[in-house]
Amino acid sequence: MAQAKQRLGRISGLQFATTVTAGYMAMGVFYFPRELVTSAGRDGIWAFWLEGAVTYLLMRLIFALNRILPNETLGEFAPKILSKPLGIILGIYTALYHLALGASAAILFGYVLSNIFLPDTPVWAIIASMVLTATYMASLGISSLARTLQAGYIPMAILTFLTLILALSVIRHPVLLLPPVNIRAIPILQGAYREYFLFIGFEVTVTLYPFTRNTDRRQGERFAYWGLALIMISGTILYEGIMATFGPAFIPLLRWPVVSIMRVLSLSGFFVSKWGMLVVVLWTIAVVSFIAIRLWCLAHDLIALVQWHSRYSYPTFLISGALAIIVCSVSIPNAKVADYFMERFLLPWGLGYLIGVPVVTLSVAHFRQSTIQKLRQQSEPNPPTTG
Amino acid sequence: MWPFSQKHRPQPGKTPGVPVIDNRLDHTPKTETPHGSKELMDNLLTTEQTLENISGVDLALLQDLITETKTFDKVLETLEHTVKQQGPATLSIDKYNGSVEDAYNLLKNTVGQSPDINIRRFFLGRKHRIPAVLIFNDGLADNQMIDQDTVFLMQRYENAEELWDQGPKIHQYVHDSLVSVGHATVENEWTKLLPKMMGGNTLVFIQGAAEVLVLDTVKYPARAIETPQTERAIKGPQESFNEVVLTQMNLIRRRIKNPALHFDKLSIGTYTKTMTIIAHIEGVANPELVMAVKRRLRRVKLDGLQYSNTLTPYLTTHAASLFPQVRTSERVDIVVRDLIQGKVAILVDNTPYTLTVPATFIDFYQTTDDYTGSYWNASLERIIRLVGLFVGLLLPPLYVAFVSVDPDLLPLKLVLTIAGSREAVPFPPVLEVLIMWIIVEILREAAIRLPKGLSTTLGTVGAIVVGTSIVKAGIVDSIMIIIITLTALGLFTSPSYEMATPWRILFWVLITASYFLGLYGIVLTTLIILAHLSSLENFGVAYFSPFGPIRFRDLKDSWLKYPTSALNKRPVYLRSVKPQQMSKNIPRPMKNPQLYSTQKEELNDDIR
Amino acid sequence: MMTFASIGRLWAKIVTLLVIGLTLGGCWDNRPVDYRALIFTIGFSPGPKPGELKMLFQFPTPPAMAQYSKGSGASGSSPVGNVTGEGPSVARCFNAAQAQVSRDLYLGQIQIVAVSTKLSAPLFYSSLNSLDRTGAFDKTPFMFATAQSLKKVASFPTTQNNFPSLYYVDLFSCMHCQTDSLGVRFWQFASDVATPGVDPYLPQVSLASKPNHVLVNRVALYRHLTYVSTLNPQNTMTLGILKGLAHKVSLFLPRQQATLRAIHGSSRLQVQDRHGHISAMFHVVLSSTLEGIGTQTETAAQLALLSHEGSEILARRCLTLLEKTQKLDVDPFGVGRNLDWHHPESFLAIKHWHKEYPKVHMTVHVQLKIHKMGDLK
Repeated sequence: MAQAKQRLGRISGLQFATTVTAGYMAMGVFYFPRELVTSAGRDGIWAFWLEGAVTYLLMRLIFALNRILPNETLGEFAPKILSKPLGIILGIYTALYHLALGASAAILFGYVLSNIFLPDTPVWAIIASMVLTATYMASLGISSLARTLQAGYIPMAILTFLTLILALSVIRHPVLLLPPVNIRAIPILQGAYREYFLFIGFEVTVTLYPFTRNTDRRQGERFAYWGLALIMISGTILYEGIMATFGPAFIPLLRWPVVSIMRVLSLSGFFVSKWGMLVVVLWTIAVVSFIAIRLWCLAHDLIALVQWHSRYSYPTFLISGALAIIVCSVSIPNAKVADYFMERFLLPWGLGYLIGVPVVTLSVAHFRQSTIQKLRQQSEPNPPTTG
Repeated sequence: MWPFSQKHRPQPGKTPGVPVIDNRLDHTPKTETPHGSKELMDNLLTTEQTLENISGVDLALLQDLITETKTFDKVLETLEHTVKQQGPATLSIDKYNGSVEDAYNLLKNTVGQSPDINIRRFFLGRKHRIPAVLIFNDGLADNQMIDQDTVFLMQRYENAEELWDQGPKIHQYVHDSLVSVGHATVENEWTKLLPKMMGGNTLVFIQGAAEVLVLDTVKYPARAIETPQTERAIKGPQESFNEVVLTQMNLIRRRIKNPALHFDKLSIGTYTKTMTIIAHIEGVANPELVMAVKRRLRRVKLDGLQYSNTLTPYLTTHAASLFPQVRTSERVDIVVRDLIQGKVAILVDNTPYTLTVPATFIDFYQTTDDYTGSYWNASLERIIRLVGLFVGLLLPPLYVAFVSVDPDLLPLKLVLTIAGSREAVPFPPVLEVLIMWIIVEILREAAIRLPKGLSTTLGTVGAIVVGTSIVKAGIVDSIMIIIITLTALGLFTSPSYEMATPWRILFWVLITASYFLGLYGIVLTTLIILAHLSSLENFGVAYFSPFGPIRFRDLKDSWLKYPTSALNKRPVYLRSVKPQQMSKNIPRPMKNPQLYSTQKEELNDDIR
Repeated sequence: MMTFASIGRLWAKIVTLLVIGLTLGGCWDNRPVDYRALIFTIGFSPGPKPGELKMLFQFPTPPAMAQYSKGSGASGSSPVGNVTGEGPSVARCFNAAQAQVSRDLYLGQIQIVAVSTKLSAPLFYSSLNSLDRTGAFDKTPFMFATAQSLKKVASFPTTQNNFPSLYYVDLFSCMHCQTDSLGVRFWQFASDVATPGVDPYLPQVSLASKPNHVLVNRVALYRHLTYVSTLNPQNTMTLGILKGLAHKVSLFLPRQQATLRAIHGSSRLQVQDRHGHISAMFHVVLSSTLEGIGTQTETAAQLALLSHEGSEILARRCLTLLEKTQKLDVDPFGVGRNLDWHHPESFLAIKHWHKEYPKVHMTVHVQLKIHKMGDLK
């Protein structure tokens, strides 16, 4: 396993968690909390917390999946455990899913930008520049990507958080801050399901896990849970801010409620009066990071699928992935079609992946302990290099 | 005055090779000139005579040829003789064979041709006279040391007979009990001897000795130790390196009085043989790092090494990157600080700029003043440098973006002011930036090249011309002047000059991006820059270290500087083998000295 | 590890293609501000033909802007240019207006949306909807209504600002510059329109002929988007008190010859459903400053009396206003909205809130405190 050996000892636990956290939220956040409120009304907050709890459980599940063979990606070990055809199907599923997620993030943000920010710029230019930036980031390898996230994504997240606190100043109806007590289960479940693409995307761990230093993996998992907690806290603030500003009746009418609340945020007496708009543009960092992580995963999963190990394989798959994302995004005519695709296909298939793959693989692995022991010995190379 | 005083120039026409004094002691057989060369020489001379009679013919070429042939003839002769002398038993002709006469001939015919090389024959001992030859580089060697501590002592030596009995060990005897030069070594390979002599050492060849004495008579002409010009500091030491590597080492040694400080010598450059010193502190610097630096530098194959920066590509992994990855400094204290942190310094002879590796991005924003003032002061200054970077890099692109692409982000009154001031300007904002930036760059370049007195004038003239006239002429709006002034100053808030260059180039990328895509373009470009910075690694150290990868311990000495007591560990990224650099608990003896009561007691004592 | 060094040329090609694409694409959104007509105010009024809209686009003139940036005062000519467009929809009006202007009419800096009270509800609805959809238009401008000519009101020169729109922006964005902070932003109005159980209102601007000045002391009430009535200044003050927007309200108590000023405070609405009977209770807590009293010096008993009497008068005024709104069948206080948020099932049971609102039992509790008494004792 020359590949595995080369790969070891790349990123730290914190970098792992940052990458995993940057791997979700960026796409779904623009719809947040429209679907929650449309389905559950003021109860949306319960739906959001339910989503958080489910995500925590699914994360635990997927980490357990990663630990089956911690030195190999799912794409690499799935054919050995689940049988070859099933493994290949799983590989294609994973790859396609990354592609679809990347494309939907690109199209979504492309339309947000072209709608509010660059009305006369063609969408293809916005999307292409975004995807090319992501390709460059991904082309530098996972350690650089993770570092870039630390240097770019984390400050952006902090700035967003501070802005959210500023957003509390535009609240009109403080009475809406209180969580409602008349809970109705069905709408909450519905809302939680419809808004779940907020959290879809943390399955990057199936590819990312082996790239984390052996000693840092447990820590990485812990940090990922902390990342989820932080996302939940900021999500709650965001939800409360939007809810108490626009009210439950107006939110379902807004196409991108988060962008709307950012737009009404203004700072008087500063060089930039529409501070919220500036932050929305800075979210480019989040979206580009999201796409870059997808591209990186996509290329690695394809390598595992095709079994073509050469110095050209990674760049080739990366660039073809980027081109595919650009083509997919540009061929979608408008934001409504993108919405339809996301709700109709992306969401059920994504949730299915997050639940189905770990459950199936873990249960098969449970019955094939001896094979796994053998595989583990094969893939476990010499003790990891320091540094 | 050194080195080309007129008297040393070889007189044309005078045949070189004629001994200055007769050799009476040792009889060596006259070597025979090879026939061919004799005939060739005769032919050439005849031709010259013939041609002299014909007027209008330029003889210079022929004369050159004759001179070259003569030199070549001598070299050949010496070589042949050496080979004959040493016979089949000797392995190498590179070795000194013990014969003073041969050495003399060899030297006279090779390096002796050069006017700055002095060769002198003399006898060792007063009664029993042993022939000896001394060679040194006039100007680089200390004449007084040669005259008084070497030649004088040797010529007056009474006990030469005893010396003679030492046989091939004679040089050892001379070394041990005769010469009074502080540092003397022995060597017998010509390829090593000659560069040493060129560096200012004096070589003493003694008849019959197996080795040649190398006396350290080096005395460089050197610039005094001056205040640093490129990295000025308000407080803190004011010493900078000069061009002499020995002085550089002295300056460092004076500050680190510990045997753990190692200077490893390396000579780089086929012709220049530049002394390059790799300095590190053993037990602090990571041995792997030191090894890596040494290995990389040993690989350097250059004809000449003049500037320390020539080594930079060999010391960087991503040599094509815009960003400087090796810190250069002429400040002694900065180099010493780096060494104590666990870095490796590379001193290069003839360059006052020392290299330290590995360097991270933030290193280029740290300077002496940060450590000589309070940490409040340091933090403030660092933040101002960060602001300077932001302003210098982003202000014009932001101006283009806000004014041309996204005017909706500007507050109402500002947009009115800008729109109003732009009404009469014929150019779009991007062209305004271009015009102003070109003017600023030209002014800057001119100010550097001009003599000091003139450059001040130029600055003033430039400021007046650019500042007022161009606005009055209506070519550029008045806000642009403020922006460009801030930009021009902002980028140079970095204490290190080389750090401004990448930003000055990236500035254009950002301007282009903001022209097409406004703020969005700026964000994308910034992300690309961040990604590039994060991808850089040198000697296994991430360039963008405390930020990407985030290292919380190192963040304490980044844009904010924590109090010294919080910096008790060396930076993480250096992976020093001694992470702790000061004890954790700073003891505070006599926190509240009893001044009042002591004064009272003393006063009472006095009264008594 | 796989590197990119070998396929650097491919990157070069991609970058070249991108650059070519960029250059061929032109400058897209790159239009410097001096190529744009920065619209500061837009106005909506009914057009001459029924079912048509007449829109006003107002932008500062270049000479006025140049003067502004130099810091010199206003010149004789009008600092703003007004362009009107007529048509059945916002886009058509916009086109008609753009045809009259050589620069790009830019919607990104709109500060004021003026609405004529004569605008019919369907037209208002469609224009609100169009504006809401427009990406370049951000939803923060202030809105006001006027019964007079939009053009006159919007371009009325004041002595305080170079541009009329600046006057309105300064006025509405400064809470302490008005008796009640009446400023309503576009998104607030839009969200009120979209929320059941509440009716929107807008500050109404009028021009007084003698002396020449602008008056912003009344409120136009809407039932959904239909203009219903305008409250007089005193009722407007009372509305401010009930909504917690009062800042500089003053009260004269004739019996003690006393004046209370700077009355301000918060208001809390509590709506309850008791077996199908809906009751709304307003708790208003106000504080004020004693401006003057007939006896010159005051006693604790007098103060208590003042505060009691003041509370009573204000409570009575509030009740009168509430009854008036019930008569008008307009709910600007969001009684229905409050019911919806707290008792959604009761609200859902009501089919038409407008039929229910007049029946709501209203109670007002006012607690007026005198905190400051000035320098005289």
